[in-house]
This record gives sequence, C-alpha cells and structure tokens, in this order.
Amino acid sequence: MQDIREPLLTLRGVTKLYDRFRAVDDISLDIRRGEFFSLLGPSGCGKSTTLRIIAGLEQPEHGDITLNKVTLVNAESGVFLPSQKRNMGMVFQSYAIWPHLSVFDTVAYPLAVRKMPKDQINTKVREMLHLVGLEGYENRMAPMLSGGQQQRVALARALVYEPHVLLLDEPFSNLDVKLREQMRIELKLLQRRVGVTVILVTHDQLEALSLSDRIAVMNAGHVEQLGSPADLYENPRTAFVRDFIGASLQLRGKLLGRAPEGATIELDGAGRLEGRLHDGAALRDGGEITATIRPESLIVGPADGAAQPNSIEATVQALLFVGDKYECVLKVGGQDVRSFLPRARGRAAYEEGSRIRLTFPASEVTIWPR
Amino acid sequence: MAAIDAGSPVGVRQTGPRRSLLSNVSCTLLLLVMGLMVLYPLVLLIYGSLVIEQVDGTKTLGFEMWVTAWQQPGMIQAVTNTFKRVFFTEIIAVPAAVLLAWLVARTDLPGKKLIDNFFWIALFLPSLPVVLGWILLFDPDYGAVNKFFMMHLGFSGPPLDIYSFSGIIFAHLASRSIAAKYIFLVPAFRNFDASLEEASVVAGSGPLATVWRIVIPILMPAVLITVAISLTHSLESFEIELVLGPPTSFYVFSTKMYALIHDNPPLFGAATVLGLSVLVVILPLIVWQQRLIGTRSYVTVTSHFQARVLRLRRLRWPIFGVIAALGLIITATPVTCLMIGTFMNLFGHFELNQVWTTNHWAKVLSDPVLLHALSNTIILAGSAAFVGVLWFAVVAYISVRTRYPARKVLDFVTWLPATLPGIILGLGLLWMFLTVPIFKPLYGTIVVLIIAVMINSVTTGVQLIKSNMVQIGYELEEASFISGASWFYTFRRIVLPVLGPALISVALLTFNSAARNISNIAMIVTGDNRPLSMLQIDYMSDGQYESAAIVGVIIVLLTLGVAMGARAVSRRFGFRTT
Repeated sequence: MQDIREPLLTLRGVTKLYDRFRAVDDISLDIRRGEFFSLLGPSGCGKSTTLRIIAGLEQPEHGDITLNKVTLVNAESGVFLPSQKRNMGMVFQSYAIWPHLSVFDTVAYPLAVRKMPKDQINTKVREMLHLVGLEGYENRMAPMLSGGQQQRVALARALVYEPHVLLLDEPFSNLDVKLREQMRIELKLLQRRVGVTVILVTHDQLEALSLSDRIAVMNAGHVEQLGSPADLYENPRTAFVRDFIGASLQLRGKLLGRAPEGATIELDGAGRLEGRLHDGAALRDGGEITATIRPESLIVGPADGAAQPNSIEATVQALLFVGDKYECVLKVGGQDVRSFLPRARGRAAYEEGSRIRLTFPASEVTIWPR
Repeated sequence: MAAIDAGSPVGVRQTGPRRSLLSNVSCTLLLLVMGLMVLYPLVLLIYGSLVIEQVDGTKTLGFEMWVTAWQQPGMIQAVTNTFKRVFFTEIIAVPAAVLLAWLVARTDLPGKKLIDNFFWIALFLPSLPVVLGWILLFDPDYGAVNKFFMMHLGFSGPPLDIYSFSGIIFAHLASRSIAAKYIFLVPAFRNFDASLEEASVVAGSGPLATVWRIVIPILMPAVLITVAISLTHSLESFEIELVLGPPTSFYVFSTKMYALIHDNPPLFGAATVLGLSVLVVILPLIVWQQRLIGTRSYVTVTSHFQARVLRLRRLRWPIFGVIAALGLIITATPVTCLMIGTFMNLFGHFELNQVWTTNHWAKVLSDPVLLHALSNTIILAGSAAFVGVLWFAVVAYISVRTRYPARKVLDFVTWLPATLPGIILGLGLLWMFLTVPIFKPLYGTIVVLIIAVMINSVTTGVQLIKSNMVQIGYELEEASFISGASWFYTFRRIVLPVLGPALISVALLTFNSAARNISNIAMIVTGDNRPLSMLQIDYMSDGQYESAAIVGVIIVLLTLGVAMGARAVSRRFGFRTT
C-alpha cells in the first residue's frame, strides 16, 4: 500500500512561452493521490494552459512532469509523452461532444481504442452511464442532449477507462446557475464514489472553495498561494489572493504606531482603528496602508448606540437587497467602501441615508501596506 | 490504481500530434507547388510581355510589345465594352438580389424553399447551354418570342435581339448574375439578430426608420462584399460574350484575347498585353475586395438569434407569384427550349414542314467525337474533384490547425485565383506549358486542363473546408487524443466522419465547375483533350446548333445532377448550413 500523502503527479519548474509571453511561469506542484485539486484564477492567468500541459496537449519549454514516478515530460532532455499514452481523462469547456456518435458509442470510444472485447465494453459503458445518471439514453445522438446531459456524457467518456487523473477545464461555465449548483454536488459525490484524483480549472472562487481539498491560486502565470480553502480565505498571503477569494471591506489610512499585539491606524477622515499587521508587512509609522476585514466579522449597530471600542460611524449610500443579506456602499469619512450588511429579521434595519456604527473586532482587522 | 501500462514507451522523444504530421518542410513544398501553379504563370505573362526577340535571336527587355499591341484595332473598345457591360449588369443585378434576399430572409413570403431551389439551380446551370436556349426564343430572325411579337402584336422589329448589347445583359441577368448574389446574401440577411431591430423599435423608431438607420448600415458590409466579389466574377465572364458578341462585333477583353490567340498568325503578345492591362485596371478592385474580406467578422447562428419577420399581408401571394415566375424563367424556360432545340430539324425554325426529328440525337450519340469529349469531361471533372478535395483539405488543415509560419502567404495564394480572370490564368498556363521545357511534354494532355480547373476551384473549396474545420473546433480531436486514440485513429473515426459531408460537397462542387468550365481552359485546349464544354463551343461556331444543343443537354444533366447531389449531402448531415 502506497502512502496516501505521496504525490501522484509532480510538476517542477514548468514554463510555457508564447513567443516572449510567459503563459505559465516556473510552476511547481505536487498533487496527491485521490485529492480534489483546483487551479483558480482570473482569465489569462495560465491555469488552462497548465492543465493542457498536464494533459499533453501543450508542450512546455522548460520543466518536468512525473506521474506515479514515471516521467511524462522532461523539457530539457526532450522527453514528451503524448496525450494518448498518459491515461488521463478530461472534460473540456465545450465538452467536445462528437456530433456523429451516439451516447453509447461516445462512452465506448476510449475502450474501443484500448481494444477491449465487445461484451466487456458493453458492461463497462452501461455501468458508467448508470453512474452519471444517463441510463436509457444509450442510443440518443449526443448533440441532441441538453447541456447538463452533454456534460455527463463528457464525464462518462473521461472516467470509463479509469484514468489516473481526471482533468476538468471550466466544466460548469456553460451551464445556467441552477444546473451549475446541481452538477457541482453531483461531481463531488461522484468523485467520492470513484475515488479518482481530480484537477479542476476554474475562475469561479465559489466552485473552487466548495469542491476542493486544496487550491492553487494563479496569477500572471505563477502560483500566488497554495492551500486549503479555509486557509486561503482566512490567511491570504498576498493582496491578490485577498481580493480574489471572498469579499472584504477595505479602508485607506495611515499607520500611527505599533504595539506587540497589534497596530493603530488613522483612517482618512474617519477616526482610529486597532488591528493586526499582515505577516511580514514592512511598514514605517506614517506609511500608507489598507485595512481589511471580512464583512461577516463586522458588528453593525445604530449610530446613536453606546460607543463601542474600535468602532467608526458610516452613512449608508446605497443598499441592494440580495436575499440573505444586503450589498451596500458605505460612506466612511471621505471614502466610499463596498461591503455587506447582515439582514435584520422582521424590520428594515437600515435605509439609504441612515447612519450606522461599525465595530471592528481588532483581531479580525488586517493591515496591509498600500 | 496501477502505474502507467508497462507497454507504453516512456521517455521516447516525441512531439505533439499536430507537428509530427505536417512538418514545415512539407508545408513549404505545398506552398511552392501552389505558387508554381498560380503565381508563376502570372510572372511568365509579365516577363513575356517585356521580352523582345531581335532578328539575330538575342533577347532584350523593352516595352515594344506593349506599344505594338495597342496598335491592334479594337483593343480600347474591348476594355470599355467590358466595363460598360459589367456596369449595366450589376446596376440591375445588385438591387434585385438585395430585394429578393430581403424578401426571402426577412418577410413571411410563402414558398421560400421553392424560391431557394430555383436560384440554386440557376447558379449551377452552365451558361452556354442556357444561352443556347435563349437563342431559340430571342434570335432576331427565327426566335419564337420575337416572331410572336412581330407577327401577332404588330412589332416592326424584334423586341429583344439576343445578339446585341441588351441581349447580352439579359443573358447575364437571367443566368447566374442575380442568383449568385442572392445565394450569397440570404445567409447574412437571415443571421441578422432581430434584437438589434427590436431595440430600435422599442427606442421609438418606426419600421421604415429602423430599416434605414439600423438594418441597412449593419448589412452594408455583406452587400459590399457581395458587390466586390461579383464585380470580379462579372469582369471575367467569357462564354456569353463569345457566343452573342461576334455577330455585332461586340468584344469584351476576354473574348478579344481569345480572338487574338485564334488569329492567323496567333497574336500572343497583344493578348498578353490586353490581359495584363485589364489586371492593372482592376487592381484597386482586387485590393478593395481583399480588405473587405479581411475585415469581415463571421456571423454565427445560435439558437437565440431570432429573425424578426415582416408581414407582407395582402401582398404575400402576388409577390410570391412574381418571384416564382422569375424563378421559372431563369431555370425551366431555357432548359426546356434547349431540349426542344435538340429535336428540331433546324434549330429554332418552327415554320418548316418537318419540324421534329430525332436524327440529330442518333447522329451525335454515335459520333466518336462526342464520346471522346464525354470521356474527357468525366476524366477531367472526376480527377479535379478527387485530387482537388485532397489538396484543398490539406491546405485548409495547414491554415486552420497548424502554426506553419508562412500561413498568410498560403492564404494569399489560395485567395488569388478567385480574383484573377480565368482567361488570364489560362493564358499564363499556356505560356508556362509552351515555353518552360520541363512542362512542355504535358501540353495537349488532360493534366494541363485538370490543373487549370482545380486552380479555378481552389478558393471556394479551401474556404468551405476551412469554415467547417473552424466550426468543428480542435477540441473534438483533442478529446480523442486524451481518450487514448492515435492521430490516424482520430482522423478515421472523428475527423473524416465529421468533415465528410463537407468534403463530399466540395468534391461535387469542384466536379460541377470543372464540367462546365470554359474560360480557364479555352486557351489551353487542344483537339485531343477537348471536353464537352469546348465541343459545344466548336459546334456553335460551325453553326451546328442542334448538335451543340445536344451537348448542352448532356452538360446540364451532368452538372445539375452532381450539384443536386451536393445539396442533398450537405442537407442530410444537419450540422452544416448551406
């Protein structure tokens, strides 16, 4: 029995150039057996290219990749194992459903390639279609199916030959919101059942946070931060990760002074706050800073209430009801800041123009250099 | 899960699938061959027009040939005639085609399928047999319609003399001139997103203001491209003028070139100079067309595009009646007349005692000349279709799927034949096969003609395959690679079946245009490799109109049958719209 923590797939210094542009810039990753791993980032950050390099659809200029200790790519010595021999499964963003094949033939295709006997193919395909909930659709032409069904066909095709790794390239982006939520849950359940290692590429933080065991946040061709969803959310290491994952209320100000347990800041025209300095933030007193807090950590009360420590007043500029909460623009001193306000039961707690008091638990405020 | 199958070669130096198949070397080779077939003849024309052979055999460069050429009578007349003819044809054809396309695409006109079919047939009908059909009706002396007007309606002269300027314009309008534009415009009109129109209506514009300020400006590029393309096509027209022009000494540049080559002795120099001069004159047009096509954005049809349909109300059926009558006139009428002509003792003469006979059919069908020409046509069109489709597919694949550095040059060479008049390309090939020693043995063989007609089809063929490849997307192939399939397995089970219908229809279209082609091959045909289309020309210049009509009927059956096959194929496989 191999150690469960031992990496299945390893990328070392992988770099892909398009002319001079470094689409993927010196990426190293270890993906563990059976984990759900996501590459998350904005469009053009190189996440899809990284996936395609893993799949063998793009050839990197530098770096090497091993799967199960077998070399797939070693750019320096010119080793490149083509896609067909990597035994990986992939679901494309467009699903890449072949227009001339039935559902059965589509799922049977990889098995036919592997010269499996007919009766065995038959059993396997039927099992797979049962697993993705498509029994009864065997003879349907695949393009005649709905988007969600097409995706299931693509998933079945990618899983039927028990690949080492399942690669998913923005698989949900072509589905409408309701279907996307449903497919997300189905995918998670399916992965649990099959136990396959999954690498998901997505620009949707919600997708990545909810599905993944670990996430690599990518930006401009390199990995910004790698960690568990909770880790990334609670301890973002860079401003990029902080802004990309989850929402945060951001205030501009200056550093007044620091103490062992925290620091004091002066907000532009709105009073003082206590908070903790971001790890390793090199800041002089008087330096420009951004103070951030996750909206759910804010304590909101009426402006005329008892003055709390570490609180400031704000005016509600715009209030958007989004169901479980309010999205709002607040005026804090001279600054317009975006945030969320909890929804109060039974009565309208705020209205546009009303004054409110925001209390900042000092341990939840992070101070970043600006 | 086990490690990668023991059998798989690990660590072998291998490159990605798209690079290993078509290396840069073979791409360049292909480009050179295409350049040789398209550009080299053109270079030879220019060079040839500037070389002067002295009495002692030495050669010098100079403009002497250009000077003497223009002293030939009728040269300038031929050029002005060309543009006059094009102008009067297009000024009628463009508005007519726009109106027809709009009626079919954007209104609730009934019988749209039927109307569509009429214009498709008109597009695929070979011009020469159609003209022959019209001669039966509009010959100034015996034409049936003219006679009827003069005898029963008191006309003193023929209302339409087919052998005249207006007759030639009529022949153009009633054959492909309107039909081709209609076919080209309808998809653009159909794909127009109705929400753009609706936005204007909601914003308070009336229907007319919407058409004027929204619909027309948005569709203008499509109309302009149609005009640009049809101008070049119209300019190169040859066979209609070849048959209808000479009786009144009306020559356009292409027929003048043909006449110069068939002079005794042949005036190669003058013909070359004339061809090149026309090329210089239409150069701005070619540049304009290229720029228009370069900036074109593809309109894609998706399910949420909805055509807003204008209701014609009471005018619905009357308008349908007029268009259907028009459709019958440009298709069934000339073909029927052509058929009738083959069974007449003397073509078009209904006043004889013995009007009908089957003698001509008996004579022509037993004539080895016809059988030889028929077999030439089938070999010519068949090989052009088969070789052509492979060639076009490779060019399209390089252009769409590879990162071959000289792709743009390849695209340019592919596009060039569509803008160069066929007769000039033909003359260039004649120079090439007569003056370049290594090509000389090919002259007089069918290979020469196969090359000429393939060049004529390369632009459309490559374009059609390319647009299909783009639509299909590379991911279909990648999904197959990922599934474990090799390149050849993928090609056999994914690429070919998916692209198959497009390839079949390109092959059939190439066959069709090869079988009726005249202008590209007129210069290089010899007695031995003469196909049906040229045989018909020769019969007509001998005055054997009955035999010419029989050959015409055979060509019509051959081309139309194949064209209908092409339509059926592309319709049966739903993922492509024609």
